[in-house]
Amino acid sequence: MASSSKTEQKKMLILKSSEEEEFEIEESIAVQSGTIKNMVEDDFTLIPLPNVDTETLIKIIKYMKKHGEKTKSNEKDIEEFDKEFVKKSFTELKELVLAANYLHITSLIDLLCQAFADRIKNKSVKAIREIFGIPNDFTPEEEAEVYEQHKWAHEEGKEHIDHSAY
Amino acid sequence: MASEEILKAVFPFLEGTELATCMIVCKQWRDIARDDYFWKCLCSKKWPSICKRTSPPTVTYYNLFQNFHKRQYRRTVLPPKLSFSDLEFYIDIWTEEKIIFSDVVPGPVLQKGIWIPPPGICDVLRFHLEGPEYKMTLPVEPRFTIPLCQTVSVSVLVGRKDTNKAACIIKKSLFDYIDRTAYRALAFDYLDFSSPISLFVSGVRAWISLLFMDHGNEGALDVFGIEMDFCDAANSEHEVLWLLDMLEWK
Repeated sequence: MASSSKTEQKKMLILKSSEEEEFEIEESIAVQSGTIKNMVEDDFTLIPLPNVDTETLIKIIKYMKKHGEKTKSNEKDIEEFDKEFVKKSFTELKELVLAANYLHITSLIDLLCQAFADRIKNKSVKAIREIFGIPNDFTPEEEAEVYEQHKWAHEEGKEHIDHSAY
Repeated sequence: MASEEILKAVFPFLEGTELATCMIVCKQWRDIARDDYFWKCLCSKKWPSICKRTSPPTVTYYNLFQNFHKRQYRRTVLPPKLSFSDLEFYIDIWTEEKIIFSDVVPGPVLQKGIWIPPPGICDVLRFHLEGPEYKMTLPVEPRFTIPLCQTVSVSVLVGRKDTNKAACIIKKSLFDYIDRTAYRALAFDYLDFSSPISLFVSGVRAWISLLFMDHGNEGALDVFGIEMDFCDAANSEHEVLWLLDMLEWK
């Protein structure tokens, strides 16, 4: 069944976004997604992804294609790609992480979570609220109480906190 | 809600202090970050062996992390068990073999610190007495004079009312150093601590000084006050009380 002739046609799959748009992709690359891999094992070639919109799917396909060509020599190249890949808006990252989670692409989930974590690191509470667009739902008393409970985390190293949103 | 999924995925990537910061962001973040699971992960990264315990833990991993994640450099001293009102100091001063000062000084008198120093003391001494560093001082009334040719010695014992025991602060020491710029004659002795503290702590001295006037009289010291301090180790009222508590009380 597996003939290693160079002219052999690579097996292609079709991924369909929630907006019904279809994208062709090599199976060997698509199976970086655990979800897709399972469906392939059940003999699917058209993979509907109702949870992933077109824009996000395009980005994910781009990621998988890049990571699909991973060899020992282009590690640096992929690192650069990853760095650029996460330079997206917070909303885009949110969509991506939900999709990566649904698709079970472990390396992408880790990459995106790390990107989120980096946006939280060394930021003040106020800055975090601004970055993530979160309203403060504590009353002033509640907030003071919570802050007091967590004073241990802020006692030293306060000078490292960045109060600007970015 | 979708953000909950994301937060649960992102939180494991944070350091402990950052996770604690997240708890202050809003109620939802607080409720998710509170999950001891995340703190267990942080503990297991720092101290893997702690998660291998066979008996169930009695405190949350959150508490564990909070207590041990970093050394507290800030010295916060708990209030001491001893208070000055429990103490009485027995101060005796001799020139040659003659007693020239002998008094029972209640703790609160020494605690209060300097009264208004009399006029005629040198500026250096006045500056020292008015300074913020903690010192125990007592006025000597009436003042006494010590001719310089004589040896002056001192002993200080202290008694405590809560246990009815006494301890020695200075056995019998000579005032063999005279600081002429600050107009003080100094004596010291090493403190004896109770066991097992004495195994590990040594070389802490009690200092006692006679404060004298600036009369220009080179031949004698006109003593107006006495000062006692433990500057080797204790520099606040609480610290002094803790230090005294550690003495060998008999």
